[in-house]
Amino acid sequence: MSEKPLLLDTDRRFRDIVIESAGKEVFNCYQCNKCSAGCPVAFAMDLLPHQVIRSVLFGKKEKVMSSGTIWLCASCETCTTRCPNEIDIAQVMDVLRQLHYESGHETPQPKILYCTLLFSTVLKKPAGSMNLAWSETFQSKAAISRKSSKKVPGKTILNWQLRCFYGESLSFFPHGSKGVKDVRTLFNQAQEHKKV
Amino acid sequence: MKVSFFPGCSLEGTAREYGESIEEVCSSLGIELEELKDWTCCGASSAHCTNEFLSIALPARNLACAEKLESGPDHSLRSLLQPSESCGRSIDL
Repeated sequence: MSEKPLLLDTDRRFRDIVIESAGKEVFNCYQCNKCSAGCPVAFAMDLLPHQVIRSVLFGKKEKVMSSGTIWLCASCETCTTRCPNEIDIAQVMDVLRQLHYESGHETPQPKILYCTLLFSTVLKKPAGSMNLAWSETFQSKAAISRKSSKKVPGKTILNWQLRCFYGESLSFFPHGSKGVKDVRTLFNQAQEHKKV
Repeated sequence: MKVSFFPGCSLEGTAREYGESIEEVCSSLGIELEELKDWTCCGASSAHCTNEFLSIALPARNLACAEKLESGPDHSLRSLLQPSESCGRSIDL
């Protein structure tokens, strides 16, 4: 199968949504590769950060949305700091992730996506953040076994939990906060603020 | 000197040793830490990936807590210490 001609595959609306949130500086990219050269997770990416920026400018929605790069990005902002044109590349990645999440596209990195979603679920629980790692393992086990063919053995998870507990990297009691109610309200309000 | 303090989730969880060293260092420098009342997770590393509104609202809620502390009886609480990198990023925005 031959690739589509360059201009037939462009989605200007997609490009405009990204630029609107991430700033007009994105147009200034001259492909110097400084972002990709500094990126600590570039080794695992199928599309390097500077290629993502170029694809966004060309409106290559499918190419960007189907790459694992947007979910592999660790939001460390090394790229943003290094960019000579002051493009907020980490913000571009954020916007792309938001668009990807709303569109429900498939991703080559499903575990990172599930982990992010689980984190948001745990935030709304009355125990707040402290039980995070505990509940996260429990739930990620459920999520991974439900959505992917690769199952995590229960024994592995138990070992991991015991190690955390005895290594004292987890507290026994959760951090109780009266703010959880507010957080839940904010999450409800967030439903009304979608991108598309 | 007294500053308000936003520990963030990881400083009491997986990065507990970091939290303990922060407290130790501050006490030897004579900095008194006043923890924010009713702080919640700022959603760093997760909320900003899925929703722009949450990426602003969750940290803003914590900033409001800090402001409340500042306008309280103790007017010396003008600065906020926020040692966790990801939380810092989201609150900065």
